[in-house]
Amino acid sequence: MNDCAKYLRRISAFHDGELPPDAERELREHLAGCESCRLELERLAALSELIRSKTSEWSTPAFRWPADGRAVRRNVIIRFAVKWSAAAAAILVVCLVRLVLLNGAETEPLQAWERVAVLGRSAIMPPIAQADRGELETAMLLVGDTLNGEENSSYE
Amino acid sequence: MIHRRAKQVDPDEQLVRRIRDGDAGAFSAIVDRHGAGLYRVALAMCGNGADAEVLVQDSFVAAFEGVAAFAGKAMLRTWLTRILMNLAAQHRRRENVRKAARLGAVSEPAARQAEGGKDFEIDFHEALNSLEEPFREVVVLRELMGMSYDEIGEALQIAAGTVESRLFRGRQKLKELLADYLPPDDVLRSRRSEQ
Repeated sequence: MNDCAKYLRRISAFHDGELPPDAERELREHLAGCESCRLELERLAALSELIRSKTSEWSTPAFRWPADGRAVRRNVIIRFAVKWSAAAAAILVVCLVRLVLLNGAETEPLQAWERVAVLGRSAIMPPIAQADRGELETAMLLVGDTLNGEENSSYE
Repeated sequence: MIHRRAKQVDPDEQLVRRIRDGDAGAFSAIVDRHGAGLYRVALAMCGNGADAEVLVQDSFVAAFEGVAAFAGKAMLRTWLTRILMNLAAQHRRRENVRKAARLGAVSEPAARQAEGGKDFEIDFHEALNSLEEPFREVVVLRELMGMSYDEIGEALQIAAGTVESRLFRGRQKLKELLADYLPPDDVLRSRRSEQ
């Protein structure tokens, strides 16, 4: 196994002073005899130095905090209330729109077999059209029922 | 005469205790102590001064609201950083959605390339942005905040070993991307021989 490949990953932690003592000692011994790993360490040091020097020049705004924090708490409560009020309003609007759409929609007339299936279980069934009657009677004979609610026993 | 060495008390710990005792004004001292550091991290994470300022303010507001629940197991700086990083991640997700909606727009780096400009700050943000989020986070917390691996692990809720490997990979990528700003190898060699 190539020694440098083994040590390369540790160089970053060594640079940060985060290697355990044993691993640090071992890496130091390797660095003493390895030019390419020493160079890698120098590159990491240069990178850190570059980032720190450049970012330390960034001007930072002065953050001020109100002396008693009450104003902040008030703002937090207002923000919270506004956020949840908006969410509640949105849900309400969606519900209203859905309700209006459902009320306005025309329902498809029931097929004869569907009426048979629910007949006797629902008191609010729409009246049966004369045109459907023959078809319905045939269907009900098959399931052993009549339109008057009398049980048909002719198939028993 | 007996000399007793005064026990070193963490100023953050004292401030948190004062807040818990009802001294809400003590929070302004926390803002003074950590505002600048958090701002630099926020700026590195989002690349925009105005957004960074809002992120830091929001972090302080969230911290103020939750300071009573702060158990004190982690350092205050680590806890504040964790809040900031969570907010920065949310901000980034929102920005990605916004950017995806702007399909036709010319990107900033492309526009700058056309002008032939070169600026470390822009290139640095560009390089950081090209790192995947897990790598960018550890690089920023180590290089800008100087946090230890344990602290970074605490702030990001990952193991110190994961911090080490992510930092290694993040730095490798960053080194390639910022190669124009780094001294050439022969300069580094000669610098070492001088030492």
